[in-house]
Amino acid sequence: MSAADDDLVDEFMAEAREGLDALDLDILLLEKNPDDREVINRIFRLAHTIKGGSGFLNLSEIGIAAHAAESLLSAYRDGVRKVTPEGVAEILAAFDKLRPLIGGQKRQISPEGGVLVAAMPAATSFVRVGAETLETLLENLGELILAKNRLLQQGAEDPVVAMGLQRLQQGISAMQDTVLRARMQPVRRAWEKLPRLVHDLSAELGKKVRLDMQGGDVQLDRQVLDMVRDPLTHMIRNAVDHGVETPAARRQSGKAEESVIHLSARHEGGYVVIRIADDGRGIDMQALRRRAAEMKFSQPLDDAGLLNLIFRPGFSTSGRVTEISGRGVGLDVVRDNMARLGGAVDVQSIQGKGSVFTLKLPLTLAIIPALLVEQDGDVYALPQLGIREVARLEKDAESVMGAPVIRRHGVMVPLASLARVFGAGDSRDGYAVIMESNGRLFGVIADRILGTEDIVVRALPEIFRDEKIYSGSAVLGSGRVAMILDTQGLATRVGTTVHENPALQPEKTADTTRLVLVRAGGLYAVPLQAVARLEKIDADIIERNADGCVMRYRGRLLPVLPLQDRVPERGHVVVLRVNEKMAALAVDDIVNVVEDVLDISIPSARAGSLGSAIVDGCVVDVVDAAHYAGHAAAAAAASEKTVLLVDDSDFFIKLLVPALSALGYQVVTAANAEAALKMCRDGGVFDIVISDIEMPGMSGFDFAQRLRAQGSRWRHVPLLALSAHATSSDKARGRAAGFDDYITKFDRDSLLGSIARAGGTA
Amino acid sequence: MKEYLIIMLDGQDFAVAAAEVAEVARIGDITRVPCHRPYVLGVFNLRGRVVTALSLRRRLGLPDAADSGLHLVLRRAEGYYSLSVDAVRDVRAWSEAEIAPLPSALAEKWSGFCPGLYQGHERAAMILDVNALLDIFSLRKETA
Repeated sequence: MSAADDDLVDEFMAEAREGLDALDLDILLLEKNPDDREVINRIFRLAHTIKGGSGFLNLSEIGIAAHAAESLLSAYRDGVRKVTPEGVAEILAAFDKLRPLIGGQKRQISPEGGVLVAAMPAATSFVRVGAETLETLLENLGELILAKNRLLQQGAEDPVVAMGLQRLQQGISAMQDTVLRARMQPVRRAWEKLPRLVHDLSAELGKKVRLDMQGGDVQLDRQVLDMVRDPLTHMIRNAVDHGVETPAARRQSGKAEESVIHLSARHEGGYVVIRIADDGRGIDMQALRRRAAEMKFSQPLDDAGLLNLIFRPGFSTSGRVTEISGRGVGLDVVRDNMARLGGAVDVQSIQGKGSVFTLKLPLTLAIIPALLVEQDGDVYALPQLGIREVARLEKDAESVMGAPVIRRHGVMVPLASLARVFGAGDSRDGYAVIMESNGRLFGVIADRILGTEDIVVRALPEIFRDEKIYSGSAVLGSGRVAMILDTQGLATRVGTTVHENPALQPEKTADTTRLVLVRAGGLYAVPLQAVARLEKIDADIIERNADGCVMRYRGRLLPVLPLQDRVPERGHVVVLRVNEKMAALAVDDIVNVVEDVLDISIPSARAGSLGSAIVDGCVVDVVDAAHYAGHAAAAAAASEKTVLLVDDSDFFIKLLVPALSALGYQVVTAANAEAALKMCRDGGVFDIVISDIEMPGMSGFDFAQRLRAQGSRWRHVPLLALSAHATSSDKARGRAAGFDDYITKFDRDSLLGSIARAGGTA
Repeated sequence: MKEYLIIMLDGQDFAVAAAEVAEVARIGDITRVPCHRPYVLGVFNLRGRVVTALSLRRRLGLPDAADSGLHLVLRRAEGYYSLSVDAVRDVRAWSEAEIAPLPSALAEKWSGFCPGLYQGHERAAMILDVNALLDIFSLRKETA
């Protein structure tokens, strides 16, 4: 057989494997809706395709098995046979004969297996690339990034070298995007086996279980996907075996006989969150309490603490060890795997109602943005994903019982110096890096902040594993190695706020309001709800110019408004946020955060004040945050340009909007050309219009033509085309349609450059 | 016959099977890593690889001395490790017959990672089993 034939066979096998993996879902669908013609047809086509391919490639054994499956299916397709449970079992058996011949058991995890790679989201064609090739690509990219970082550190005097360096950097960052995207796979790939598993298990246990799956299209790095596959299988087994009851027991407790396990995936703040929720009996808190008593903890555990026990090695409340859930492998392994991934697992349960397990997973592990900090002369990397804020610590940092704390959003966030975490002394000087772990805040103090760098994550040397505060290592641009600190591990060492992030918490009671008391001449109260941040006035943060003061906050410029007549030289700013509008108020001092009944006794006629009230025993002026935020927004709007972004890809919109906002643009998005045209017709005012080319419905070319024809207002507005591929003929066509510039979609830097140019002329 | 790398530690000769050693490198720039095991020096970059550096003196319970910067680099399934040594003296080929079990006086302290003693015609050298020294399970047990 020639090499070309070998390739063909490989490709055929990979495709057949994929088909068989997807088959389980269809079989279950068929079981539920025996008359679904479409499903029967789909299963028939699978058998037919495999038969055809094997015939072409002379794979006679596969051909015979596929032929048998095909004939069986054709009987159902043609209505000769009716789909019955026995029939479904027969179909399954027919395909099970095919699996070993095709190697369907071990899937694309093995390096020789191919993975389906989407070249780009907007492109319509797919190519199959060996998983090994992808790994090599990533490895080589890692080397390139290292070399680039090293060159950047050297800097370049020569403008030619500097320019080359810049282009190199752009090329590498575009390649990084593409390689990481190529590694992404839909999370469904880790789910495909689960319907069959649930089906077989529940049959074996005499239970009725339905698996409901949502969000299978959410994309995850294949490495993460591989690591989550086993824990997921384990948890689904647990849910079927321990979670849900027998039909008889369910009837007795007044539940439907059939239980439902909901499996879902969604994006949540840079993570992918997978939930496994069952409506079974829930976790037996009594049994947990008994076990906890046996374990003799120094203090009684609360419910959350009790639930966390189930993640301990060797922990089990169920008296029996079943065939199904296996021995030895428990939830502790799941938790370890999640920790290794930099993710987390959490459980909630209501007795009698069911349990919910939540897996929080990072999108990728390969290359991550990190904050580099220095402690005692050594560099450490902190994953930016967990970082909420960095603040310079003042000498007079607050402390509670001798331990340093920092106030954020009205709560005390516990801090610990890295020196202390490492067991090498203590320090109160330097910078506080505030992080979030499982919704709770904490911070570490480092000597210096060195900056950010995209780091290529290397495995954590085995010997450091039980230190629990490292998650990996990385070679930096300087050539030195830095340890990557583990956010969760640090949280455990430092301790966190007791409550979840208060910004996400509802107010304690409806009657009282939390207020920040500030002094600016007199006493003022600002509702905490409107306060995004409190900050010391510092030359580093605030810029003064002829028009007044501005401060940089999260990539945008905020005007600093005086609460009294002028912005003081020293003091604090209160960053306000009301309905996404922001402003900063300058005050002399922050007095306290109090919770009190807000009863405005003397309403005010003055703009910016709601009136007077008695708070904490003092008469204060209650600040009308909306007035200041609105004022700032109005001032900003005058200088801000508005961009209309037309793209059907959610992904791309998510990518571009923050980048554009950071450049100071207001961004309005439209999911298709029709909607965009309507916005323009209905009196929308846009300074720049950016449009995708390949879109369902009206294409970008047609859109440009129609927009340009829509009156003089739109004849000269800068119009930029975006496309996944930009050949010279595409560009010519774009220009003819009315586009001013044509940009390749994934070239983020040149895209932003073009927009800046267009913005300059607008 | 088997080749051994003869190294010096605290004035004493030790021998390590040459096949176990990937290379001998002079290392200047080790990133210290705070760690519960005192013999872990840190990590360094060896041509793009992350290597975990251990102090062989501390691992063997010998007193600290001025850093020579010389490391034996070992490749293991779970990653690269290095052992710092005072000096590398020579490479010698010895036969099995020239290696005797440890005298009982030494065995108590050393038997864990010292399978034998060279007592041929040259200076005596204690054979070091680097795999035993680096066995993560034994490393784990110590702290447990």
